[in-house]
Amino acid sequence: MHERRIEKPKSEDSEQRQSQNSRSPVDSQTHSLLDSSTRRLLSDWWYVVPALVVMAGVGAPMGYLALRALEAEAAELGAIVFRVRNLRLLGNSWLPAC
Amino acid sequence: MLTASALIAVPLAWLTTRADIRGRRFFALLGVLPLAVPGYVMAYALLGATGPRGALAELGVGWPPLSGYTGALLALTFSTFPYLFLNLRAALAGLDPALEEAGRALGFGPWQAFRRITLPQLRPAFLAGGLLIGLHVLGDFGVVSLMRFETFSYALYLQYAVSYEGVYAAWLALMLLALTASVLVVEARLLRGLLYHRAGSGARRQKRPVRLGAWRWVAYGFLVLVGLASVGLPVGTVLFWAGNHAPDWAGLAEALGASVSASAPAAVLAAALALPLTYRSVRRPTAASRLMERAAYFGYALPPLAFALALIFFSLRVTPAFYQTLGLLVVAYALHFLAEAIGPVRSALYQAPPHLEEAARSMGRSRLRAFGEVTLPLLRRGLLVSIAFVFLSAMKELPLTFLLAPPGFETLALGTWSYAREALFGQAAPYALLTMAFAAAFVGVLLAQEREEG
Repeated sequence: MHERRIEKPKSEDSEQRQSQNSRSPVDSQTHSLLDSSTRRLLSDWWYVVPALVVMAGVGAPMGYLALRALEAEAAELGAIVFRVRNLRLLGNSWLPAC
Repeated sequence: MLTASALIAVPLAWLTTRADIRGRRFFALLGVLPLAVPGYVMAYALLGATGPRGALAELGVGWPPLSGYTGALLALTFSTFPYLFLNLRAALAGLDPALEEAGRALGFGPWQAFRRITLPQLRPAFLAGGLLIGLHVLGDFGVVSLMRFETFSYALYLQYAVSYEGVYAAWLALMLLALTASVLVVEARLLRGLLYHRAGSGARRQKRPVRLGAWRWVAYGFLVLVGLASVGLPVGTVLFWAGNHAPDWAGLAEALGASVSASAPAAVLAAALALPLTYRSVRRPTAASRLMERAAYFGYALPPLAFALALIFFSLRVTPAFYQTLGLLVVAYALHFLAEAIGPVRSALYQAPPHLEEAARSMGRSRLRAFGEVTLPLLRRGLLVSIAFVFLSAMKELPLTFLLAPPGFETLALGTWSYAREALFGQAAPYALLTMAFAAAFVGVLLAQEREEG
């Protein structure tokens, strides 16, 4: 009896294995890692783009705020941080919270 | 604040879950309604009701003017105690009555059983409600600025808008952030290792209402007093001043239009950002996707004034064309309220079976098309609730609007605040009334959503 053979579609793994065989072991490992991560990033653009928007939208301004705070010179910095007013503000902010 | 809130919320939660009083549902609703009164409207109401020119004086009930610490404490307590009340009510409703009965069998009196058995069981609810109140109070700007009580938020505003001292303002914002972070850390530490679930076999029994006897009248007096102070006073004061002053319809319509033009796109943007983030963390949860969802909550926990200041500095340096534009305000709203958009989308996603999408894909649909044709229609309601949450929150948002709005852009919240700050209570009344209407709609959506889920 003639047996029908169903050709399976090439999976991502088999494609990776083929491309790895044509390179040196170290190169092929690096190449496949880069390939798969880039491929994953590109295929997940619908998630990566909003994630980046949120991360950058919240993180970057807050990071810049810290940089802006450090713009003061060392002597000025001490005067700003150790103001008596700051202690009063700390007390006033805690008091209603407690 | 926490102590004052607990003094209101604990008896209110106990009476509406355990006592044999009539109208428990009504009084429970009365405990939630103050959420419809934003803090700055409550502060406006207290200022407009007291003092020699206040509404109470006009009614013949003289009351000394409230401002400073006392005024801020009262306004913040009345507008935030529902956060604690809701948590405590849920915890009390889920408590096993057998625990208290065991204590009574061992010789405890009713008060002793409550103090030594029930109260410790409410610890997680206290911590959850306390965290919300703490974050709210630390980030508050409207109440403390109207009451002229200098906290970090108010000092930050004075330093940036009045003294133009940018570096010190940045330091104040960082100190405020550190304070907020310390509240989060303390709450997480106190919650660690707490286990209060039922360990025995069988199911929890139904609770029998506690008979109050003659004390019932004291309970009714307390409930009416809480309702009058937290809902009656602000609504009554606003209506009193609204009745005494002809509204400027053109200005009101302009403010309403401005509020909607900023809040509506922000709500859509927040829902659009929440959808992919939530989809990924629900359908394919990884450490990275969970981290991304947490980043959304981080934006919500940030004190609004500190976030606004950071956006101003950043946009001035990196994108100057974006500074003082409606676009920046919309983005700020969307990022700040993103956490509110995530909840309803997540609930809807949990209810949408993933097999349907998988079936569509097995029939040859691409991933995007399968999602659009099968899952998206199932998420429509969750998305609408997300949009409603963010829209209504943004409509009453004050600190972000205050620092980021384009010049001459006056929203309802800004109108209420700026008139109340000049003691023009009559002019502020219609703005406050409309703001309260939107806040009440927010509470309505929240309650409807909870009823649906519960």
